[in-house]
Amino acid sequence: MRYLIKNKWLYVFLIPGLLYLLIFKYVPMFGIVIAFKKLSIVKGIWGSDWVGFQNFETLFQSAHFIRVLRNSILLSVYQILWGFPAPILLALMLNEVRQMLFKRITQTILYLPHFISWVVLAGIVINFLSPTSGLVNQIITSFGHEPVKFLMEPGYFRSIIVSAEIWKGVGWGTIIYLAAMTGIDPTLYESAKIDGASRLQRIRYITIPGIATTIIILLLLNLGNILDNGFEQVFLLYNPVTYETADIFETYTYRIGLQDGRLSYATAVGLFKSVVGFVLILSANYAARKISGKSIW
Amino acid sequence: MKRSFRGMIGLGMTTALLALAACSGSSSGGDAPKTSPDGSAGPKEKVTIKIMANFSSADIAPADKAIFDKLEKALNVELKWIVPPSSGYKEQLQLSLVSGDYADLVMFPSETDESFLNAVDEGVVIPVNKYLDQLPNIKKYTYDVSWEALETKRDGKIYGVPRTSVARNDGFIIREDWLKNIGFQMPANREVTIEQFTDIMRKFTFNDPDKNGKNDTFGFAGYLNTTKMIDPILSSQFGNLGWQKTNGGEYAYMTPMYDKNSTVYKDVLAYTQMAFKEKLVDPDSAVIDRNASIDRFQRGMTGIRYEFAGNAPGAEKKGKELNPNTEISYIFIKDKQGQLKGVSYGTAIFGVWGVTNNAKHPDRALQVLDWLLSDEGFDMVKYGVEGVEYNKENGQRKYIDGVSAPWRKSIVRRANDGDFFIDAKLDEATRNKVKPWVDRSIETVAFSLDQGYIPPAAKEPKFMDFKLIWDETITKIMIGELPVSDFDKLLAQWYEKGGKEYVKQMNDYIASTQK
Repeated sequence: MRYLIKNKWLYVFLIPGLLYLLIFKYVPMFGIVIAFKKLSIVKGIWGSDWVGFQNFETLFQSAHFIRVLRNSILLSVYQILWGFPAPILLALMLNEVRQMLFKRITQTILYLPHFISWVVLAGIVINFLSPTSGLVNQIITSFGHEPVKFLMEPGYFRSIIVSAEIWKGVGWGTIIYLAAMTGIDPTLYESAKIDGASRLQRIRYITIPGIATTIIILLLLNLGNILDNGFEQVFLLYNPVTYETADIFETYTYRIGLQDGRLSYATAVGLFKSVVGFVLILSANYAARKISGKSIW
Repeated sequence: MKRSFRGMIGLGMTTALLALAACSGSSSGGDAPKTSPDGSAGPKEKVTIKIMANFSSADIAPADKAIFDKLEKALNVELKWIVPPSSGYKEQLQLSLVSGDYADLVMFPSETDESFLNAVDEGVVIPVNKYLDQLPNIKKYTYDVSWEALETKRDGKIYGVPRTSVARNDGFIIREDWLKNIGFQMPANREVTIEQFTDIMRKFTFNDPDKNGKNDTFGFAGYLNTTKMIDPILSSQFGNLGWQKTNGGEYAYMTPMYDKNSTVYKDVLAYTQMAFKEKLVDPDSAVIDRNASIDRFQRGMTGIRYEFAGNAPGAEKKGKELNPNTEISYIFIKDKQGQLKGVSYGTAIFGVWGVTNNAKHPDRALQVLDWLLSDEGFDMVKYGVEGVEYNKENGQRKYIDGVSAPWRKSIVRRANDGDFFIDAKLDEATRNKVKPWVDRSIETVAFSLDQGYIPPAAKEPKFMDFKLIWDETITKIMIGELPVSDFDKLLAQWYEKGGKEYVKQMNDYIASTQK
């Protein structure tokens, strides 16, 4: 009690954050009950009739379920595989730059794409890859080849999305790693230098272990969101020809939830995604603790 | 942004919005019509009418307010507008419906939109039949087919007032300067055959119509529509007039699209495929949206675009900003029999005004729409308020620079008034040039008999699931990735996945509407 009184202002400062979480994150979670109901807009959530697992049965029996699940997982895996290490590599490289002016200018330029909206970015990608006026195809045709309709080839879709996401987010993603690197004791580098460690050795034996906890936490969080691929970028760039590789849970939910007005079904899809994410994050956390001794909890 | 959008479409937003519905209730339905003792539509008691509308601008402009001031004075009402951002209107509408906090008069996107159908089913939207006799202007200026379409539950009750959209058989805007460059002799009525149209597309693609010495133009500008589909280039010209009476056979009514014994829809697909294969169509068409397609047309990359005739002067103005030589005109394409006829698939409804069970004075709310359709009100809706938006000089309206009224034309329209859609700010000569095209598009329209009806079979999960396969296959056929013959297999599958029931239910519905 004395401890509480002594630190009362710290606890007072916690109240707005906790209220925010309670009101905007926890209370709405009761709404997931509509996944098990046939929602009536007049009867409201509690008054609507229960339908049990009917919405989930419909989802699992859908002809597109496997395809949507596969696309969502594959896109996420590629995003993690290519997108996750990208800011780490960039942060490691930026950390080695000794010219502060160059470092700051580079960082600023690298952050900029983060502030471009996906609507604008999708327009840039479409123009860039256009078979008629796109720069990429102008290069291809200048070598005597036929232009490639990149955005109409299912095989290119995931590469385009992942590349665009990396380009957009890599600079911003470095912030957290650069911050983690500033916490590493500089004397470790000095000692290593005296012992004759090369720059690469210092990165390998000091910097990477120094940010390992951050890397693992972010990796675990990414794994938890494995079925979240981001709606906008896919929706803006996909079309019926690329549904085969592009249709993901977000776009599927958009069509059935908003366009077809099946809110209960859309919620069931969302709940399924959340459950998969929850199981994955638990598993990954357990695996991380077993392998490296580091985990979120 | 990524996170916020995720929240919007996924579990988070849906549940967040719907949590509000937990305690939602509904007030009872509307009361009886209230008029003044003498029976005229001018009650003494001042009432507030809450209206939720979808306008391009969220804030009321002074020029719009001028109209509403006159309306409020005439009807002794106070209008309270709820105008969410246009891009999020549908979500806001869902939110207000599930929370029970909705306006007296609500604009629904269409008579077939889920939000409207649910609102009717749940009694949120009330029938308007008993008020119609007091609404002479609404009755006079609405298509019969629109009223029929709003008998949503087929119980003789009309659930809303249509925001009328003039039913039209639109043609194409075309680069007139390119036509001159390729030496095409245009008939005086600007109606050409399918063969002539194809010839124009070919010459626009291969004969350097802009005379810049480069092979950098395409005949036709396509785009992905709001359902992410490209539309066929020509359709009614091959006889695809939607649901019509058959001359015997298994069904009394049929659309060529679902007719196993007709080649019409395959002809439609084959034509578009031919144009894609011959590269007469902008190859980016299956990737870009309408705005990007318009932009490419303005930049002189494409020469023909499907468009409402009233937009031709605007397209020319924009085009001239980039290239002073730009001249835009209009053409219609005749069908295989040499007739000009096109189908209106909808019911001339561009949104529905629903009166909700929250409305304490439904009659007064509807009078707002009726007044705007009266001669006095509609003149202002169409042209603006004199002294605020324009001044009269020598009997001609001279519009004041910088004054805009983005709301006034998004509330009501009169049936068959194509003139409404021609920009009032255009000079008289231009308006007179465009008007015959608009009139021609109105007089050559035919209605599909389905009236936008969606049979219950369309809500079956396996039917809805199959839509994706349908969209994918049709698009691939149109762009030439699959042969047209694949349509037969697709149609057979469609019948298996619920199409048979769909056609049967649609036939029952159409039969019920035929007097």
